Amino acid sequence: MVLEKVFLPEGVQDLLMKDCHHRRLIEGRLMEEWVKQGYMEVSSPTLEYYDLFRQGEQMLRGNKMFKLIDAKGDLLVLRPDGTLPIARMVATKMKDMVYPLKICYIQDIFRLDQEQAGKQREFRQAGVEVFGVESYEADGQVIITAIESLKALGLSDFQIEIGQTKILQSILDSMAVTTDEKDEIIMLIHNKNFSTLESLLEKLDIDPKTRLILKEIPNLFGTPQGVMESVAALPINDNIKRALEELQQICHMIQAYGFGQYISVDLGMTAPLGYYTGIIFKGFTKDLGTILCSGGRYDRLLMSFGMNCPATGFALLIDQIRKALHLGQQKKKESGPPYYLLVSHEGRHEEVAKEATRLKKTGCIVEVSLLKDPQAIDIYAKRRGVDKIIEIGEKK
Amino acid sequence: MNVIKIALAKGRLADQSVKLLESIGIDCGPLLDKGRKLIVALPKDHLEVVFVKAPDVPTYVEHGAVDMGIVGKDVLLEANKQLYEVLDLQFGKCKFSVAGSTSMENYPTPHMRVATKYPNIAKNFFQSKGQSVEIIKQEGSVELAPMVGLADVIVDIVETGNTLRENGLMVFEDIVEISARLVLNQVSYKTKHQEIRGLIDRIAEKTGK
Repeated sequence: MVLEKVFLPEGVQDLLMKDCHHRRLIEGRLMEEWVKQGYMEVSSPTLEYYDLFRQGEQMLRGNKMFKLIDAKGDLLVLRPDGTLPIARMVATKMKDMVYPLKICYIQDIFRLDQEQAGKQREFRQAGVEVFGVESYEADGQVIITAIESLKALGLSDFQIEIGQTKILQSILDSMAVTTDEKDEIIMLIHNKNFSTLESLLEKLDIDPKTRLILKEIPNLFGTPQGVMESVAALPINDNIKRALEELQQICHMIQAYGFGQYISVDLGMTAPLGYYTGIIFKGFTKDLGTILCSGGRYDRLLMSFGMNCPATGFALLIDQIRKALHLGQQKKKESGPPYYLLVSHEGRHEEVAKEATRLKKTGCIVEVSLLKDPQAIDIYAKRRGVDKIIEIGEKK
Repeated sequence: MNVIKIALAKGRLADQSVKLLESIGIDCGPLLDKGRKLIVALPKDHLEVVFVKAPDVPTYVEHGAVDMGIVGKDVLLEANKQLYEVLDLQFGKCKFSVAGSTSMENYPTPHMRVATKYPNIAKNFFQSKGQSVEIIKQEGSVELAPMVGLADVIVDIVETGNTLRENGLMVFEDIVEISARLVLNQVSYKTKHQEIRGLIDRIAEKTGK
């Protein structure tokens, strides 16, 4: 046997029974939660055209995608993002539906990451998207859905951090600097690289007020109230004021729902993908050094498909959530339904069938034993966690 | 109070990193006689110090295995990880440079072979200048490459330039100045902000940043 065939390609994994069961429970709970809130499930294909992810503002980096060529020579990719395909579906197949349109999905995402970086190249993403509403209430509701989703999964010690892309955008639009310089400013703010940011701002020909705001932005994070108080001391313009008011309204709305303890604000948060246009957010927990979920508003995305439709949404990283639940010892011992093993003697198939049907109706797990040797049956039952062995007919 | 885990790069920056921690009042006694231990607790200061190879510091920080790290900018540029780079610590200063044989007649040539321990930095630098190069990844003694004809030029860290001169090489071009940086895990900075911010402020005061 060729050894390579035994191993897996980098960045993918087999999920065995326990992990599969746990993932299924997580996904089941999420769907249950979302359907209760009026979201409708859709599914997009694993294969999409490469060009879908390379147009306009939503450009994903080509070297992050798994590419393949079909028989006609067209360049295809394995779905590298969850939102773009849903946006395509909405614009091309759901134009005439009732809006606001609330969509949810659970799908695999494929991204080519740096080799041997300990990152998954195939990962599970569950998300919701709300199309057709431009108000702050829609953003607020989406963040509330994210909080309720994480709570429904048994997480409690988490934070949803909210940012506002309009603030930085408004400042950068007012500056007479090159695109490269703007990109560098965004990157330095994103990385909270205070010293390099400061020296770059000193070099650039910008007015002192703008310089002061840009210098302070990476530091403006914490409780909504604390951040708003710090901002009040800065020389901000009307555009920034409006963007901050929107952010404040969302925070008030979340607090009104009783979820104030789960939110914080970071005005230095920048959008990881090019299509975000307003509120953005990400969720994390103390136990895990990585992000559990992220999302935001993307009002211009559907224009690429000829539809002017505002939208907002988020995605949860299922594998990260599984890790967080495990790390926080919050993975409650799933008691689950009783598990019975039916053992048939003398080929009494009719009785076995009746008993199996009766037990299944009560919600039990019922397995008909394929083993005959009593000792082998006992060992099997112990190792599989069977609650009770039910014997039908007389032992010979 | 939360314990803060900090990764220090073994090698040229380790001693200076420990000195820096001492200078802000941290009791580094256990670090000085750690023997072969890789993890050393500093319970008085609620710190845990992890010693790792320099290229691994960004990985430990990004994955949240530690909350913060001290590492050279050279390693950060090569690794390109998602983390917060909050302070230039003003030590371990040197430059990334392109160097080659003193007998090399015209630099750059239309298609050069470049030997380096830092393939990403080299590739990004030459790409930004629109130059086509072939990168040859090496693990050490990069200076040897032009001398034996393996490569036309090298991209490496230059401190004094003595090693280059002794081997008949010269600097053609500087790429970027580098020094030690304080980096943070993006989540830790938010979830352990008070403790981390306190440390940053004390370090910033010392480094004058």
